[in-house]
Amino acid sequence: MATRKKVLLKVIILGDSGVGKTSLMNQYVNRKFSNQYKATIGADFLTKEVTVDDRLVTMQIWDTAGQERFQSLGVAFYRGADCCVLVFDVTVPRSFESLEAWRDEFLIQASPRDPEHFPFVVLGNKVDLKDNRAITENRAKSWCDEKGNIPYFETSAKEATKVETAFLTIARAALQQEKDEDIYHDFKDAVNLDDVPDKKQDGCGC
Amino acid sequence: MCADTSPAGKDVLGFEPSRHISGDVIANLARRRMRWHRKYPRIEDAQHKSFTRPFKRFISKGVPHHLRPNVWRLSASRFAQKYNRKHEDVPILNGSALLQQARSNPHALTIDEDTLMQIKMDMPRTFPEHAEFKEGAHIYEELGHVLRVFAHLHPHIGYCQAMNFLAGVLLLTTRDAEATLSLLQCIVLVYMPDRYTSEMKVQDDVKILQRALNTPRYAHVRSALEDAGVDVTFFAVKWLLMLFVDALPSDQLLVLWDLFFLWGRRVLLQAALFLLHEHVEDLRARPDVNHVMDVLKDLGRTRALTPQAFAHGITQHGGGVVPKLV
Repeated sequence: MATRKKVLLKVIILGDSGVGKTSLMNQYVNRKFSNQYKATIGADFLTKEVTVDDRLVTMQIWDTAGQERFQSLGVAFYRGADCCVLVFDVTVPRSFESLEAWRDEFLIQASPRDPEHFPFVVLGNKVDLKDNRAITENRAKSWCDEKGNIPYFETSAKEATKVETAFLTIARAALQQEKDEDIYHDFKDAVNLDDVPDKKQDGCGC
Repeated sequence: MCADTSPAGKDVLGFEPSRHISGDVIANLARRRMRWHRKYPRIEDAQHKSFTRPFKRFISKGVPHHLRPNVWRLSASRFAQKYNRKHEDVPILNGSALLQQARSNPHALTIDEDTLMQIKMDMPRTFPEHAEFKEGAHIYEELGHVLRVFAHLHPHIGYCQAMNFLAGVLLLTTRDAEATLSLLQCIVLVYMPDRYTSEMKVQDDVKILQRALNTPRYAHVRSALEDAGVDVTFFAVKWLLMLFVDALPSDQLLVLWDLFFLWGRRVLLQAALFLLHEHVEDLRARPDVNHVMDVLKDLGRTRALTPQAFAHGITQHGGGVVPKLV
């Protein structure tokens, strides 16, 4: 591809209710934290323009409802995702145990072309609550390693800890994914180009 | 007692007012209040049989705020009675005894752990900016009671996020947990069946909306959305599940709910089409995804309409596309 078109990267944030998905998104996009977020219904998104390795990209970050029953709406929101961020709360073991289900559900509903290599990033959020910590860094890391070396970050949306770093990694992973998809589509278009004129000629014959 | 007033500087539900309401709209409301008072002086005694055509027309022209609890109860009871005859297994129940229990001995209710957790988590995440939804406030506590009793009564639904917002608006309007519980049951079981379970049938409603937008009449709306790269699902799921709470300013929201209780779910779809149509210039102003989403998340930027004009607008949309539902 010779031309540098404007790149839109779609990022989906998943995880149990109350782990801090909305807070992470707002901390990253608006550099703000509030204790007053409403529960997210359906899905919502914010966009942010960032420079990743000298390339200007627009990240469209999707924040989703955490309650399980909203998963059936996933298809509509996950379509075309370039990276999926799985979030758990380091003080709530259940939210960590759910990661696997969120990952599987995403792969089923988004059905990426190459699920084996689809980029995920895991965030263990609320590390500021040191006294209530229930999931150790090692435990989270070893799960991520098992699942194909998923990058892992320990974040606090409240104190802005590691949020910027994590989203830079997310942006890079998404950009890489986008490039791979582009190559695939260029290839597909190239094949199609051979087919289409033939049909047209048929049509014009009369 | 003076009706339709609220704490200084707040709107009718006690929220920060999002826009100025013009003098003629206020005058219209005052006029309607007088008419209601003359024609239906004892609305609290009104029964099912008083549901005549003139009464329905009266509702569609605007309901004085202090009469809403009664008018909503009457509107919903027609649907509820029909529903209860068909669903003897899971009827809409009077929960006053259970509400008492929820207040005094919450452990007496049988609710699964996940549901309880989710309710507890969402209570402070309902209207955090509203004075009456701070922890410890009476309405806040009643919200918890209503949601827990609902989950106890209808374990197949339990609690679904969005119900907290619906119960919240009902509580602020009726100021009564019992009335809120019964209207919440009407909404979730009767008006919006299978919308708050994992079936998420709200997807069917979104499809109807998409179909409507594909007709030539809505080409202007469709192109405004397409140019900005906005899909109907982005905003419609939330609009529908929350019955436009959070999207419409209180005055217009309540008028919409008057019509919703009166005519049923199709009102939501018609309102969606009407509101998209009304905001199309605003949507077109910048074909940018963020701009368009901002407009659709806050529909209070246009002029306030009289209830009558709003109802009229709604009836002008969705004809032939939106089936008669409920």
